[in-house]
Amino acid sequence: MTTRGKRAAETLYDKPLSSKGKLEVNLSTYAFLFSEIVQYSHGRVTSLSQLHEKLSDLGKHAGFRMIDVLCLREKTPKRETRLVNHLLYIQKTLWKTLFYKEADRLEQATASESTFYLFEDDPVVNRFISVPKDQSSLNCAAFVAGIIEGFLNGTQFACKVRAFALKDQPSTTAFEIKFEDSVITRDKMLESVK
Amino acid sequence: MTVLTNPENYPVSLKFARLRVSINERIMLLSMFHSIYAISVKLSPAKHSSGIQCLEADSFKFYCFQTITGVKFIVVADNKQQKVEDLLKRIYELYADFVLKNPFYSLDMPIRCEHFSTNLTRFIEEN
Repeated sequence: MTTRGKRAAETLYDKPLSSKGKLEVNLSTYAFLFSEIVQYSHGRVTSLSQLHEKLSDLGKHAGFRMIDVLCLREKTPKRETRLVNHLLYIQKTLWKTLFYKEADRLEQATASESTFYLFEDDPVVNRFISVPKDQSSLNCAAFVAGIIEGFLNGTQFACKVRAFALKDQPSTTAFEIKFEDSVITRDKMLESVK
Repeated sequence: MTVLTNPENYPVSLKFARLRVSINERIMLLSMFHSIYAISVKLSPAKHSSGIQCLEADSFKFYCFQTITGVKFIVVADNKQQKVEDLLKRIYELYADFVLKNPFYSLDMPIRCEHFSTNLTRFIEEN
């Protein structure tokens, strides 16, 4: 006969985030948390690019964990190996899970074939943030850029992602995804094998 | 006058409003009002009074809305203006959204948030 110790009382932290089973979070809750994240990072860096890096690092943590979460939640998970299909997967499924809508446009740069642009009109992370005039190049979508980078690096598509606002439409954010040469050559080999 | 006579600037929209009060005068007026508000809470015959909500004068009306957290929103409006209470509630919502969620705003400082100003002017122009 085994003796079992008394089970620890279930605390608030053991319960799932929303008891109804819906995977939704209140927008205001998220906005306050994100505002605090930005303030925390802002107090610990000395330059604007470091702030972008810090936000991007936090996003990488989140992006890496999204890989398993998405695989778990899909009924028939299919692993994408081709570049363009993978980017389309990000645009549709990842953004639907994160923001309840798809990203607006996905384009390939005309200059180089290793650079892709993902456009988002009015990103949720930037909606409540008014950047002061002296730091006008700051874009808190660096957090989302980190998510994309973490997701792509974890699925073996090494890349670097940057976020910036478009000049003519300052409310639209563009994410520049720059893949490494090894990824491009591998994709070309797969193309030729087919 | 040069602006009006230059046809390139048409259509021109003119808004007639009162003179803006300078910032120092505003601070003086608001500190006086804050004390008057506190006195009125103590003076009122009913218990748990909420303080001054509307101050009527000959040429203007002065509305004040105090939130649960103690922040007061003050609007100086024309005598015939309707629905100022809705305006005050909407300002409170905009404040909660665009000022408090802004990581670059420190509490009790003058509000310099773009989103707050643009949404506020848009709301006032629509009504």
